[in-house]
Amino acid sequence: MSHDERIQLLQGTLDLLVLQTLVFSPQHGHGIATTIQRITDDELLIDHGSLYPALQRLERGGLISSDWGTSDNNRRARYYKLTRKGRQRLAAETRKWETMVRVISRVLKPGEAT
Amino acid sequence: MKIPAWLRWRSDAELDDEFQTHIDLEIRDNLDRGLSHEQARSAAQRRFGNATAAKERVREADPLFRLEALFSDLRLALRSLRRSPGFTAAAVVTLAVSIGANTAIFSVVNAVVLAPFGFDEADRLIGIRASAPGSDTRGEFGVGAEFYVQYRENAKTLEGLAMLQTAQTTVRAGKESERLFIAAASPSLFSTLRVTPLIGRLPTDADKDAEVVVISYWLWTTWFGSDRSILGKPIEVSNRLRTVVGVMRPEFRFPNERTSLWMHDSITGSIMPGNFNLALVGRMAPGANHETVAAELATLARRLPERFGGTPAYRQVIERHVPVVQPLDQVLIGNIARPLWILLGTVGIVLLIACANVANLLLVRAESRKRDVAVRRALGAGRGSLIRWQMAEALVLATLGAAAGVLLAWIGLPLLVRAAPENLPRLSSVELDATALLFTAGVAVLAACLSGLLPAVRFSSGKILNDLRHSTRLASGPGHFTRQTLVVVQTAAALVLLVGSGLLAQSVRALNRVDPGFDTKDIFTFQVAPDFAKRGLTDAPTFAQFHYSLMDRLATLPGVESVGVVDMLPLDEGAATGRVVTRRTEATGAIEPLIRVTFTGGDYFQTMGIRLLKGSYFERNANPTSDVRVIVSAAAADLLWPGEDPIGQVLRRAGPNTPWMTVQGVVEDVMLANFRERTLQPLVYLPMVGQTARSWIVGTPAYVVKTARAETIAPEILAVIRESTPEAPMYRVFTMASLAARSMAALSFTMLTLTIAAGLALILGAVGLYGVLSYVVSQRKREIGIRMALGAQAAAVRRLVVVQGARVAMVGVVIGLIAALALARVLDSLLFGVEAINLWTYAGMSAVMAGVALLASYGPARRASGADPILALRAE
Repeated sequence: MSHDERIQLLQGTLDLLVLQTLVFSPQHGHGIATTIQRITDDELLIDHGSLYPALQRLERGGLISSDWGTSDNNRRARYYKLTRKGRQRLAAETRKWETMVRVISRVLKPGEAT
Repeated sequence: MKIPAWLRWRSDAELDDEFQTHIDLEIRDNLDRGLSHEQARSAAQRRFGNATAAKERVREADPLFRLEALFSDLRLALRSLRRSPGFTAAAVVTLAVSIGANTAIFSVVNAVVLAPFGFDEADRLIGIRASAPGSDTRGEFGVGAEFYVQYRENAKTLEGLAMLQTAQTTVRAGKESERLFIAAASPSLFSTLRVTPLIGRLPTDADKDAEVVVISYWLWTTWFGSDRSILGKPIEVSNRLRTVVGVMRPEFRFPNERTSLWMHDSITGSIMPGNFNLALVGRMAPGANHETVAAELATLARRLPERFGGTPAYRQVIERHVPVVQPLDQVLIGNIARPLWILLGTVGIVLLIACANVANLLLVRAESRKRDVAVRRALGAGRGSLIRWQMAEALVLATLGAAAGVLLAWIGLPLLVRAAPENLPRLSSVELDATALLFTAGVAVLAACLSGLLPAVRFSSGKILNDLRHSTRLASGPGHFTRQTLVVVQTAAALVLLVGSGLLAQSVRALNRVDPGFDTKDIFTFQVAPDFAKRGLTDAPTFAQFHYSLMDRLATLPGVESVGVVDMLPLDEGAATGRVVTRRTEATGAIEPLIRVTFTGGDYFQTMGIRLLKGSYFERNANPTSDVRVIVSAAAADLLWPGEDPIGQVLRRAGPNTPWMTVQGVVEDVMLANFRERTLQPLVYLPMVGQTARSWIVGTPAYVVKTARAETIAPEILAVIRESTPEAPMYRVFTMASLAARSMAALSFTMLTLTIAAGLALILGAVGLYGVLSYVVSQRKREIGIRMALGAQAAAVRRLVVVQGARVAMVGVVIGLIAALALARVLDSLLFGVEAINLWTYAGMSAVMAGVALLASYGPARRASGADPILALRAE
């Protein structure tokens, strides 16, 4: 896939995805990256390194917290988990996102029911 | 400055560790997918991307990073400023002078006007005065005791009310003996203001006849060494022993800083209505406001005559009476606030001009750094970071300017305070305090924005790249219009200040030309307060003898031409008001005319140079006489006996059974309070002794001494007093010249400051224009070179430059004139003998401004025409 065909991440979209991957259980950075990669078929996350500014932003904002844990193969790794504030934000952002998608698609494809 | 590790999200090592774990986990996944060791490693590296860049982005995404970047920009700015010391010095000095001026003036405004007086729920405190528009009693005046009684008993909108009078009187205790400013107040003053004493107690209504006083903290510490045993001890005030019952807190200085003690005052006996000499201080009831209070007081005052009686003159005033209810702090500050705000506005304008100058300097600097900006831009620097980079320089300049400015203010503030009118309230508390420093910090940020933002925004846009791409030098680069605009602003602002200072200077000159009816040159004046009991001073004849003998002794001093006394001196204490009866007003029952009354003896008129128009001066007399003679001013003669010869006419003071007095002379009119008086005050001079020994007593009059040594004679006169009456303090020591200066102190102070500001503005404006034109000339060297190579005359080239300067200056002058016209009204209350809007001042100052602009253009013009065409062309 060439560079240009990848979807440019909308501002804040990556944050939303990170929050979503943490809904069920805490994960380390690599886990988050591979999950996003798997779900989006490689279309969103260009390289894993770009995940970390987002993690910093979210943790500074109190939406996630981090702690040491042990990975499946006994490696010490930093695990991220959703805070209560993060959960609330995720719910709110998801609703907003859905509304926007609905509205935009109605404009772009007027014939189809949504 | 780097963000310390503990403030960062992750330290570098932690981040490395986390990244390594991430990559290791990815390698394991890849190995699981069956890749070779080598492949797994490189795929994982690729997948993760540039770790260094990721680390960098984490750092940059941290909000703290902006601070760090700002610091590094500031460090860079400091370094680059150090490399151009000339530019830096020019900008810092410009900013330091203007910021320092703002700091100093603000310190004064803050201490005098803005600082709260510190009373509990001060917004409910009011000062109450009276006015009676349409009656013969003009302006605002105090109220009589009957108002106090009526208001205190009936006003529902008032929670507390106190009456207050101030005086200067002799206070003695132990060895100390001095004339001090005191207040006589009803005990309710303290409860109304809600103040408590430091030690002891406050006077109460029960103290009615007990003669108790509370003293100020200042008096307690300086006279009594903060000795607590002062309580219950006697202190002599106005020649009577009174008991000190309390000491007030240091911050209680009411109604002014000089008040040293508070005497107990109460209404005793029957009230004679119409003595309008009390100040009232009130506390509004909750829910009341100034309007409701004024409305209620107006209603209550209407009913005064039915309760207290009064003359027809009094009824006339009451019928037209309108109460004046003002916030107390406004009353205490007085009308000095306005000139002070004008001064603050003035230095604000100077700051604006200074910022325009620095902005211009920064523009030129940015121009020379255009390539640098373009390269940074091309390398991907965002607009924000470019603006930040350039603003950092302005911020450093403003900070240095502010620091130097505070230093200047610290040096200049004492000088400013000394030059300020001495009647400025709370002048002694003027200092460079935390509020002033905070204000300075704010001014510095404002100055940085005003001077830095414009160049920064201008030289950060993508257009710079384009400009550079088409790099043949154009005569008018991107900053040229901006620079011209800045010079227009400077010229306009400078003209506003020039017009203002011109108007004030004309007012000062007009006031100096006023003939007040007396001389102000070579006259020394003072008062003296002997111990009445010790000197056997009990009635008019004994006092008159005392004054005559002192006058005789003074007249023998070398260089003394004449000596006289007057009860109240013009320009200092003015004169008392009173009503008089003439045969005509008595016959017609007309309202008794309101006049001014004063008492005099010795060679008062000759000493003061008050000309005798008719009749004769007083003879020396220290005995009661049935045939009392008076002298009237020309205005009094016109008022009382219009069209008649005043000599030989009779008048008497209003009141029952006052004896008639005969006019023996008419003198020219004098101004009493200051030189702005437009209406002449009718004034009647009475001699030192009346019909009986107690008709009136001239106790502590002002002595006036005519001598060419007025400035230096004080010690000799003090020596005479020390010899004859060692216990008597000498006070109110002035020369008439200093009193005249004091009477226009607010105006001269404002004028002086405004003139300095205008001069500064003029220089800054000229420098600004000079700078812009020099720059234009340097930019147009090539064009000028070609022109001259083609045979253009030097004069024509010079004209080209001067015309360009003149055009910019003209636009500034026009805008400045419009602004000055709009702002001139602000000065109205200070002006005298000159209209706020008048052709000559405006035209004259515009000419000055234009002249300076032309001068400023001439230098660059000469440089342009002197350029060698060949060199100029090669310079490209």
